[in-house]
Amino acid sequence: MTHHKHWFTTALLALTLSLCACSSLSNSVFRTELAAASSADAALRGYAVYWKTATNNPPAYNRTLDGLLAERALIEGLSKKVGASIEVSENLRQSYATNSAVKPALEASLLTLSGNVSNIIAVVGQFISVKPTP
Amino acid sequence: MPDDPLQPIIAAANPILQTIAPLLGPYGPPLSLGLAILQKVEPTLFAEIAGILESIHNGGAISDADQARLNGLIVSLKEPGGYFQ
Repeated sequence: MTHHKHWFTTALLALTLSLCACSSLSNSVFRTELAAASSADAALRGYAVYWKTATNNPPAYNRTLDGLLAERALIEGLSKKVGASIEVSENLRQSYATNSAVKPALEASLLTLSGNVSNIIAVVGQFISVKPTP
Repeated sequence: MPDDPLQPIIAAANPILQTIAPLLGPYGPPLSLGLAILQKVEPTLFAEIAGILESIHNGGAISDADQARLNGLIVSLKEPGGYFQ
């Protein structure tokens, strides 16, 4: 999980920096936000499909119903963090249009954002890697 | 014997994933499973995400639709209960 997290964070930042060479920072940040939000959204939709199936027969997925509910609560908490961090980044991006002094805060917000997105994708990947037993 | 719901979904989505792989770049491995499932259950949304990735790849301008999409995703992620309904 840690490997994936670092890997994804690096990829997000590399993407943003590479785009800065050919478009404005604001534009690049927006694209990064959108890609991160879409990635988290895809992970959540994928997990929801898995979760609904698993709750029909928790023992087959080596779980209890309470365990699945706890997993869902964890995922929902991570999702809220992702949503909040994207919102912060987007607010800073819009402020940056008229106040370049927010640039350090904007860059810091991208680090937080990429870390949160990496985290939810890693956790979802870990949960859905548990296949049903015969 | 319970079926694994993921395997047929991933198998069906593989051709699409191979098509957009150049656009995914380093995103590919951590996202492939989620996107594979998404392609099967929400093909329209999957196409939108593929378009977004292409837009990132090309460094295009921000459209009103992109802004609206981001705003909608923020709301959804902050209220994740909707994913499980």
